[in-house]
Amino acid sequence: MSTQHHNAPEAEPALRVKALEALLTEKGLIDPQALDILVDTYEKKVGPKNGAKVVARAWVDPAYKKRLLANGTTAIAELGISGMQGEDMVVVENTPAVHNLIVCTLCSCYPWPTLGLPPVWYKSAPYRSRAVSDPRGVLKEFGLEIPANVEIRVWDSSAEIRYMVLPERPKGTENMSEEQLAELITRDSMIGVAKVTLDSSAGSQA
Amino acid sequence: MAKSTDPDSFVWPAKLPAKLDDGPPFQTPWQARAFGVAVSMCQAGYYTWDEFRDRLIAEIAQHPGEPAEYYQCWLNALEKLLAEKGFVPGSELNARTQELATPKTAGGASSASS
Repeated sequence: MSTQHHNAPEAEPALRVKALEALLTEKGLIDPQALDILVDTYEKKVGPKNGAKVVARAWVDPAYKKRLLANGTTAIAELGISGMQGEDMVVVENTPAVHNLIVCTLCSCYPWPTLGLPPVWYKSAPYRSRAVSDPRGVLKEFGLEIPANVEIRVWDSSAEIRYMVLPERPKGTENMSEEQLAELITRDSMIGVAKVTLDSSAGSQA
Repeated sequence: MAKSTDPDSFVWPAKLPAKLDDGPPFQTPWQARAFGVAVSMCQAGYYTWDEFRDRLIAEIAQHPGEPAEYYQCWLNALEKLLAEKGFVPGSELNARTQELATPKTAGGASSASS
């Protein structure tokens, strides 16, 4: 299609985005430098460490946990965490009797301020369809066996609401500080495809 | 960026792989820019996120072959919304894209694409 000789031809979408950005800039609708900062922020700064702070606080502070479950948005904002896709947060608690899982069946809605941008598999058709039709099977593929007597609740983020899972605090962490606890909490545990364990480490996940 | 494996040609296996490598949020620079433009225009109040999301859902429904096409869907949704709102008509975008695709000859600042 392209007739460029010297450089590898730039992909069509790359050119279209470049054109779009140029036109919007010329029209004064976007600021390329602000865009750089925005992209960098979502690419590198906003991430599941925010969610881990929220969970760790809930584990050590029962009053906070109560507020978090009653009104996720305001309780999360108490820790200075807010923003797009976090305007209407609902936090769902895992217990010995209930395991929660979040999904967006129609597209890719996800609580950006607490978890960052969704992983590739979260946006995939197999996950979006099967999380609802066969959650137990999906969790098994993630290496998580949920006993038959534990209820699995699947939360479809397809309205304005964005969900986040409050995972169970693992045994053996009674003497750990809030900061140490936060280190254990993974993104996957807040989506609901994993549990927090003593050897799960947030550092191993982007 | 583009090596032996082209991220845009990745196809999902029918079964969800247990520990699929997540990779970075964006697989190519244009994906990050398309993301940024959509978010930035919304934050500036030119449209609501719901308006964008509705179009994204429609695109995704038409292209179930994700995730290779996920950001293509994102870009399609963005283009349509910006055209509908009158910010960037499709013809204007096509013309500018064509311009960028045609390398300038002698004298012109050859595209110093980063």
